[in-house]
Amino acid sequence: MNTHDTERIRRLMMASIDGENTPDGEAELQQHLLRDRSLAEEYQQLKNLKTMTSQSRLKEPPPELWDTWSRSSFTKVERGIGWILLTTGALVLILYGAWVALSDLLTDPDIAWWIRAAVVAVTAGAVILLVSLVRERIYLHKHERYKDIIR
Amino acid sequence: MQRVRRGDARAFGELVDALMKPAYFHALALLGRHEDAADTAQQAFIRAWDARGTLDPVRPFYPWFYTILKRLCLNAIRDRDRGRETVLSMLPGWIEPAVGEDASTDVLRAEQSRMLQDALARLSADDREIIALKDLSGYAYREIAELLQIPPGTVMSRLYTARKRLKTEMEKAGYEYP
Repeated sequence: MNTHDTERIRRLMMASIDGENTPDGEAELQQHLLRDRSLAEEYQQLKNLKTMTSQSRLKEPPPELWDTWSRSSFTKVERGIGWILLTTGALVLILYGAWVALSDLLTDPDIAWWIRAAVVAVTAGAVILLVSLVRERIYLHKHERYKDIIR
Repeated sequence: MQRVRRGDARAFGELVDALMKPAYFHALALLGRHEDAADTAQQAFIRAWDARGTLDPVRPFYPWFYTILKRLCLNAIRDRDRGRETVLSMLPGWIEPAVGEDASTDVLRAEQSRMLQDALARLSADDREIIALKDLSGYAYREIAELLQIPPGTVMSRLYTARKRLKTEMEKAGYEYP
């Protein structure tokens, strides 16, 4: 029996078990089952399994889920928009505040040069660390070999 | 579909009302947890609304929507795995026996449902999906083919492979054939 025949018999078995076989397909399958004892045993086991799985169903959720579905969907959208606005606004304010504070600090003639140099070093270090972290995350996300494997 | 594509929120709301149950159950089959299923299905509708511009009005809505829903479910499973939470740590009780006729078989069915649930949780999401669509939800091959956008022959092949794996898991759990 070649691969094509094996595949065809498997499909016929499924169609028969699920009650979707044609009369010709069913007759063909019965001939194979009569000829091959192990195939007949496998067919019977898969049929029993189907009977068992068909006696179960996905559990109904609490009925209130359907009543609150639209409302909670709306709340999700609302909160999503809220978070985006809050994060964007906070980021702009923080960057602006940092820029103003740095400008004041660096242009103030009363502050010693070495303090200003230290502030520049801290700022530059923080920016380099942030850029490095973001770059690493992006690289890892693009090159992670097992990200699509479902365990 | 034309109205949805044009941004008619009322038309989309009608679609959501009609499809929220299948969406929830399809997500439940993949995720195995009520809260995650409800959350992901709602998220999928929001994504679908955002992506309504790419909707082809002459093709059925649900298969297009289902690709969004499935992608979100797979992402959720991946995130769960990263959080070291396995499918086996899903809350119990996402499968139940279909309505039984008498008390003596109900006990047996409840036990079989529990075994089935554990065995399904050990399968891949793709295997769990095809078995849930056919055996737990009762779709015809043609409907599954349309939903998953694959030929009916592939549905049967995938079903065969998934059932063989399920059979192995059930046997490991001590399932005995009647």
